[in-house]
Amino acid sequence: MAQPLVKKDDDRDDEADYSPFLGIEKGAVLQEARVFNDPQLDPRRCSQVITKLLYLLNQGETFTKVEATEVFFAVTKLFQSKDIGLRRMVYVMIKELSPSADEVIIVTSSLMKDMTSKTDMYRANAIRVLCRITDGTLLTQIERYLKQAIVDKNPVVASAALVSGIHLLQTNPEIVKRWSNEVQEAVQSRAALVQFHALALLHQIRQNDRLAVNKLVSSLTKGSVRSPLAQCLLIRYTSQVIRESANTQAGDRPFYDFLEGCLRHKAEMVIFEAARAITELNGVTTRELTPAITVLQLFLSSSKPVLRFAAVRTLNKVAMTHPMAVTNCNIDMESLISDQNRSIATLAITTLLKTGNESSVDRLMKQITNFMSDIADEFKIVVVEAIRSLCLKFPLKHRSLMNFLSNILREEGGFDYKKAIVDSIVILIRDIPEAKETGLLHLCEFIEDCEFTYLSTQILHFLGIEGPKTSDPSKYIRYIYNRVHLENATVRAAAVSTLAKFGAMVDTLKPRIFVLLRRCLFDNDDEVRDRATLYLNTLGGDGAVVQTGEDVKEFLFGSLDIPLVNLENSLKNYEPSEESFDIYSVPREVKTQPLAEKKAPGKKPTGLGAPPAGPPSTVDAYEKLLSSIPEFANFGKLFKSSAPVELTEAETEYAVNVVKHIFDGHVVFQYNCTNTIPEQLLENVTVIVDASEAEEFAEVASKPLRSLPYDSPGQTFVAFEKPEGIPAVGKFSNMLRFIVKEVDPSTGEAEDDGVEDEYQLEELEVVAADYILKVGVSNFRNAWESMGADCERIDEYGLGPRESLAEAVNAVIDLLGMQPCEGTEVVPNNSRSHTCLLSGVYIGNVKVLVRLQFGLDGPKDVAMKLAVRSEDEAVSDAIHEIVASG
Amino acid sequence: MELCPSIKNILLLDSEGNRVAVKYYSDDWPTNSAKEAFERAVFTKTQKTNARTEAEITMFDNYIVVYKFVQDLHFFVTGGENENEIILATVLQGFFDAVGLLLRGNEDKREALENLDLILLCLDEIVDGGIILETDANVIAGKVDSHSMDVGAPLSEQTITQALATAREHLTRSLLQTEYIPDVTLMSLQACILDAIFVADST
Repeated sequence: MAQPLVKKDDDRDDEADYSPFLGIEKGAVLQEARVFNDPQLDPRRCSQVITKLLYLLNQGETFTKVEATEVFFAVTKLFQSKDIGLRRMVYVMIKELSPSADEVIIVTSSLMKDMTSKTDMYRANAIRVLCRITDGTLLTQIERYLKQAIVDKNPVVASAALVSGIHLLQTNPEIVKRWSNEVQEAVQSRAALVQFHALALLHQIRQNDRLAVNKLVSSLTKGSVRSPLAQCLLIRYTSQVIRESANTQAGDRPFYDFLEGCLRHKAEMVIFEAARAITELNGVTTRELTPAITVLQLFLSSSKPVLRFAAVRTLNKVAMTHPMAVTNCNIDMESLISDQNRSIATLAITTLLKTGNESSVDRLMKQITNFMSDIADEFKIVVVEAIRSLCLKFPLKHRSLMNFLSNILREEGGFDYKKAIVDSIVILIRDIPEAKETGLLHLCEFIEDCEFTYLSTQILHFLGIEGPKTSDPSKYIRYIYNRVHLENATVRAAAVSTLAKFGAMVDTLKPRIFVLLRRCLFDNDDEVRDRATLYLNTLGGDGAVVQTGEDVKEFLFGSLDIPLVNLENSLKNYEPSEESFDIYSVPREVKTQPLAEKKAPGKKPTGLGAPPAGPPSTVDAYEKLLSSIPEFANFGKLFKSSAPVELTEAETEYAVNVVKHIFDGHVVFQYNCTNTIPEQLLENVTVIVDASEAEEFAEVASKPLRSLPYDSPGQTFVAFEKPEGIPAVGKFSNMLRFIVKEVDPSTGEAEDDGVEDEYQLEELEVVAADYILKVGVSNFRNAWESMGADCERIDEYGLGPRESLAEAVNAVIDLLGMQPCEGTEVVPNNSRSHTCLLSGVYIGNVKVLVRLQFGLDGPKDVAMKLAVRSEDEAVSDAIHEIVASG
Repeated sequence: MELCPSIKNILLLDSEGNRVAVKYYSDDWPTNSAKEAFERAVFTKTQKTNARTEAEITMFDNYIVVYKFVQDLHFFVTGGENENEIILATVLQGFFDAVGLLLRGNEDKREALENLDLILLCLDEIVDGGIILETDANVIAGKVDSHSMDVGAPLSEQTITQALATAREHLTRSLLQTEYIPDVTLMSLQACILDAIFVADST
């Protein structure tokens, strides 16, 4: 569009570009704002100038501090005008400028006057503005008016006060909590939105008091809620109550009838909220699900895209845990494949892939093939992932699913999409032995015409490992050697390595591989030549058919068990000298990070979006923190840090939780303390630990916290010595000791004299699970086999009567503190037996794998067979001891 | 899970993805460039869809976005990924219809910019700090448009005041346009006042 191509468009463009703000400029508008100071105000003109200022802010323009202050002071003059329209703009402008505390004082009196005005609009807006810009001290002055406003007969005023209350609760909870009588009255209001806002505020005031929330829910579910929004809130609160009471009560689920009743509400948002709440109940039964699924099914054929999307997204989630419950909707779901809205279509397909049975797979694949060509890559990736899990579910169907994957692999697509397909094929090859040979050939064909270097090298590497183990390894050689001719240096080098692996593993191929490798000696790239020379030397034997040595195999196939970061650092530090670089001098300490679990279906991202990022690894942060404290610096390598354990109830004066840091010969307790009383300053805070019930532990050091002001968390530490390498357990009782000083809240200054005081904390335990790191393995069977049965220990245990099989499984997982693998921590409903796979690293860096087989013995009794494999017999025994004593 | 339904932002863009008016209620986009990047992403993702008869919906970056278009105006409401989609759609519909009422059916970019004050007040009345204030378009538009009325005044006076205000507006407008007062304008002013008195009498 650089040149004026079309003449007749010219005048139309002019018109389209017309804007009342054309050529607007900040400096000029700020000049214009001087009209605010005129003795004879022109409301219309002033409104226009404010609109211009707001327009600038809205477009992303910013005012400097001076400009903002000037505008703010000018705007305050406009309170003289009685023009309602202008006043509204003034309110909006003040909120946008978010004035500083000393500026707020200027408008306070004007706003307070408006707050008590007879005009509802003034009252409502003045409350919103004042609460937005005010601080705690001013709030006490206006509290009386706010309480009145909450029960004001004008709904707009009441809502304004309630919503402001919700915001203020974050900053000044103690003041807002005093309003609960008024708020409770407002919950009964006849105005729909007042009820909604009042309910939201009331719940937030009481959210930490379970009993009160319970009472609130049971009284309101009996039916006095008019507003659909309030009803949605009530549904959310109800499911929260259900969630929290689930562990304590047996029998019929409380409040289920209420949720089910909401499915017949007249507002769609309430129906949907209730249906979704039912599907998300813990351990929901098919009988409970049915009515919810039925209403969602009706939504599927709605004319509104939003309803279809909401329903299909929810059903998609249900399909992950209860695929059978969703099969009734399959027909409606299939018609959604052609939905205009591609998000809906993709969700429908992935749901179908989850609920489909073996016989419907082929038909479904046909439908999807048509669909694949007209959606964006991001949706295709979701479909590919769904197909992968389907294939793992029905291994017999691998032929048609693999075919589908190879077809789409040949079509156009971006890197991420291709990578998703290749990853899926690799996973299928790994997990379905029958699919291996076809899968490898598909990959071979793909690298013949692959534009992505990264994928080519990955596939070549994978071929090098899997190819030699197939029935006819020679047929892959051609594909691999072609790469040496046709590709860039990186891929050529990878191909050379792969060839060498074939040579090492398949002795009959060795002479031919030698010929090929020799040709690579003339390559024009250094790396390729170097590799070829290296491999020719390591394989040795001058091309004869001989057995390859074990150490050569280890060299070619063994993984580099040194973290690359460490290797890089060591190489940088290495100074060229007579002494050659010793790879064994590289530190092997690995930053532990559980491997991403690829196969667990329950953990798949649920929607179209990317999976939510996991919690950032705190291990590094802890390590840094501890090594910065001189007393703990010589404890060696931090083995594990537990999750924080709360030592106080919520909402108490002082909140304390503890993190257990395990070292080889020491344990450090990190007490994170928070002071929740603004009128107090704590000094010299320590925790007195009584270890009389932990015989093997001896206190060696403690680090007090100098001062703990209000609302800024601090830490104090206590360190214990324990026998090295031994998983000592014990109970510790804790007492918080400190000097408390009064603080004047208005000035923030503490008094000079303090009083010594103590505060009892809850007990803390060091358990066996603290000595095991949760470290997953991606393929449990492989890991199990390669670990071997040398140090295997098997025994059987009776677990006694248990509430359910799932409960027993979770109890053992928690006891051992190991990482469940391949989604085996989920026990299907009503199953009588279950196998659960766990993996972890025991103190002393010993890998441990555990296979748990559970069975129901009689109506409630659970029996368990525990098989442990590890690199050390003593560790295998230790695991058994943990279970035997747990 | 966030228990109270919350709105992350409301956007009104033109047919090229430029801002007409936007309001963010969440800290997810701390800078103006982050906001603009989000708007661009939303706009490109939705521009090819037909969201003219029914509100459409999409999901990306763990946000749910409901949207509706009319002429060269694109309306968006964003919520978190666990938000009830229908609640978001209700807010969108409230905003969309209220703007329609305020612009008296002439919903296009030019009209929207000319009445930007009304649009901004409208945003202010729908959501406060992420919490839904009102979703009924008539109530929203009513609250925004009520400003030419002085609530304290009795009904008959009100109409006169209103009429006089309109007359005054007419006058100023013509003054601004022409810079001199032609007889015609004076006459129309007179007519306006007479009209107003007539209306006042009849009520």
